[in-house]
Amino acid sequence: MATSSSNTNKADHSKNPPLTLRSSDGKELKIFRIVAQQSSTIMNLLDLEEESNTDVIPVSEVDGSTLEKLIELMNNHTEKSFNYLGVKERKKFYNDFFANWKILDVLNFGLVANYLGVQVIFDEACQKMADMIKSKSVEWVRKVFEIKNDFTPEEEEDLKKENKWAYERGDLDDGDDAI
Amino acid sequence: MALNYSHWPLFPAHISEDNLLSPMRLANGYFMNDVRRSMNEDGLFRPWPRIPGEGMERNFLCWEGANTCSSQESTSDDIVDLLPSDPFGMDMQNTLTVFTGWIKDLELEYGGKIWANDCRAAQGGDTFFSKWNMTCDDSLIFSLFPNTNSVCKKPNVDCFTSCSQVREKPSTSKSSFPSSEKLDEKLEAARTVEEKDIQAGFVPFDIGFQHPHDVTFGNGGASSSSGLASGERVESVDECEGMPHEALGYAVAYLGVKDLLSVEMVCKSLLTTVRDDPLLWRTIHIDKPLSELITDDTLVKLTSRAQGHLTCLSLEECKKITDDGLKRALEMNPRLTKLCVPGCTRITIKGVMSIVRSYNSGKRDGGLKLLRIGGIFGVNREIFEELKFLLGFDENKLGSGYKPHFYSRDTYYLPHHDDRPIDIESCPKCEAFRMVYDCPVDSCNVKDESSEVCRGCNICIARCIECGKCLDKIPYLEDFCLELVCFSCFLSRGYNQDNVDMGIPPFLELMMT
Repeated sequence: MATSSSNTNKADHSKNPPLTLRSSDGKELKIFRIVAQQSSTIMNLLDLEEESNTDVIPVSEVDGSTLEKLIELMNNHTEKSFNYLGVKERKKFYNDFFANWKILDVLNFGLVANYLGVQVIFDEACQKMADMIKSKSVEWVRKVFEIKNDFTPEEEEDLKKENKWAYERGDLDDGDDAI
Repeated sequence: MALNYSHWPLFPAHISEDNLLSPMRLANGYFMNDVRRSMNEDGLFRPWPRIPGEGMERNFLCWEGANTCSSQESTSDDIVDLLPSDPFGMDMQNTLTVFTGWIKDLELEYGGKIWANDCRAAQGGDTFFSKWNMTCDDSLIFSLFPNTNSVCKKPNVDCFTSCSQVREKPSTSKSSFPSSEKLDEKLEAARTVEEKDIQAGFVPFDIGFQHPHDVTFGNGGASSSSGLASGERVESVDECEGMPHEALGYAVAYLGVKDLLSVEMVCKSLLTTVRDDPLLWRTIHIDKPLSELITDDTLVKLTSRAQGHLTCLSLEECKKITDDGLKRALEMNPRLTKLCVPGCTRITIKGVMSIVRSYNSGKRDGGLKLLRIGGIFGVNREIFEELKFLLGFDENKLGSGYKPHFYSRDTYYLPHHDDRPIDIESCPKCEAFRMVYDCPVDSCNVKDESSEVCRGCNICIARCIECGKCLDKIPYLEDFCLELVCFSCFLSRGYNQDNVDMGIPPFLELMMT
C-alpha cells in the first residue's frame, strides 16, 4: 500500500486516520485526508458518507497501479518543498515523473485525474499528452490512438489542400516511438 | 396495430407490418439510425460500426427472428427480409427497461473508464453481453428518452445531457460516475441553455467541469472542449473501436496551431472538435515555423474559427502579414484584449495605431489591454504618448514594476502572457522607443546612485544571446550566426571533441576585453 512519508502527513496521522481507496481490481491504497483534499471527488464522496464510519472509498473507475501512481503524485504535491519549486524545476519534476510512460498510460492517467478531480495533476497530464502529440503526423495519431479514418478520399484531399500552407516546410514526424 | 413511422421514408415496400415493428422504434418515431447489425455464431446480433454515407439507406432495424438469418455478415439490402422481427418479444415499453438493464449489466460508465480496454476484456467473456458490442449513436441516446431533448442538433451539448441521464438511471452501489454531484449542477446549467447555439452556449461547460487553463503554446483554455470531450465520451464509451480516445479531447486544448491543424485531419470527430469549438481558438499564437508561412487569408480563416471570441492574437515574426490582413482578421473579433505583432515587418505602426484606436477609443472598460510591437519601426514620442493614453499604462512603472525582461534567443520578444502592457519603452541610454532588457548579473542590479542601472536596448548594451548577461566585463565571441555569445555559454553549447578536432573556423574571432 502506498503511504505518504512526508513530515506533514506524519503529524496528521494521529488526528486523521488515513482513508482507504479501493481500486477496480480490489487493490486497497491508503491516502491521508490532507492529501485527499486535492481530490474534489473524494471530498464530495466523503461529504456524502459523513454519517457512515466506513473509510473505504470504492474507486471503481480506476485500476490499482494508476491509482497508486496518482496517490504518489498527490503525496508529492502535499510536501512543502514542492511548493517552493520554480517553474523549471516543476517542469523537470513532471518530465521525470512521466519519463518513459507510454502515451496511452498518460491518457488513462489524465482521465483518472479528471475523475478524481485533481485539477493540477490533470493539467500536467494533459500537457504531457500534448507534448507527446506535438509535431507528430496524422498517421501517427491514428496509429497510436487506434482511430479510424472516416474521411472519404475526396474529403481527405480537400482537408490536405486547405491545410497545405502549414506543411510547406516538410512533413510531420511519423515517429518510431508510437507508444 | 398502430404503426409508428419514422419521418425518414426509406422503407422497402415489401416489408410486412410485423417486420416494421422493432424494439428500436419508439413512440416519437425516432429510429436507431445508422446501425447495422449482423448475426454472430450464436444467433446474436453484433452491430457494425457506422459507415458514413450508408446510414440513410439503412435507417431501419427489423428483426425477423434469429433463426431466419443464416449469415454472419450481410451487406445486401435484403437483409431486412432475413432478420428476425422482435425475437425477444420486446415492445416499446420494455425497450427502455431492457436498455437500462443492459447498460447496468455492462457497467457502462460514461466517466473515466477506459472503454477500449473494457471492450477488449469483455470479448473474453462468455455471456450474451460480452458479445454484444453495441454501437450507440446520437439518435439512440435520444430514442431512449423520447420526452427529453429533441433532435440532437448539437451532438456535443445535447448528447452529454442525455447521456448523463442514462448514467443517472442505474443506481449502482459503486459510484459509477465521476463527480456525480458536479454533474447535477452541470446538467441543470446545460438544460437551461440547451436551446442555445454552442457558440453562445459554452457557458455550461465553464461550470465546474475540468477545463484546461490558458496555455501559452497557442490556444487558450477550452472549457467547452471538456464538454466536447464529453460528447466524444458518448461515442468512445459506447463504441470502442475507431473513435478518438476520450482524453484526446482534453489534450487538444494544449496543442499549438500547427498540431491542431494536424489533429483535425485525423477523423471527423476530431475535425468537429477542433473547428467548431471557439474556445480552442480564443488564443492564437503563431511562431516558428508557421510564422514564416502564414498569410493574410489563412490568418483570417484561423481567426474566424474563434467566432468572435478571440481574446489574444500573437503573431511572432509573421513577415507575410500586412496591415490589411490584420485588420480583416480582427474585424469580427471585438473582444480582443491582447494584440502581439512583434517582428512583423510588413505591419506598420500606422496600421497598429488605427487598430488600437478602434478598440480603445471612447471606451472606459474593455478594449485592448496589452500590446506587443517590438521590432516595428517608427514609434516616436507622440505615438508613445497616444498609446499611453489609449492603453492606460504608466511609463514610469515599465522599468521596475514588472518582472525583469532578459535578453535571449527564446525571450527576445516579450510573451503575451507576461503582464506588461507594452513591450517597448524609451531606452535609458539612447531614448529611442525599443525593447529594453534587464541584466541578470547581480552586480548590475545594485541600486547605487553612482552607477547606472544596466538597462537598455540591445543596440546600446551588447548581451549574450544565451544568458542575456551584458558583455562589458566578460569575454565573448561572435558565432556562426553573427550572434554574440559569452565564453562560458559558448563552451556549454556542447562543442564536443569532434568539433574541436576539426579546428575553430577561421572567421571566428575571439574578442577579449
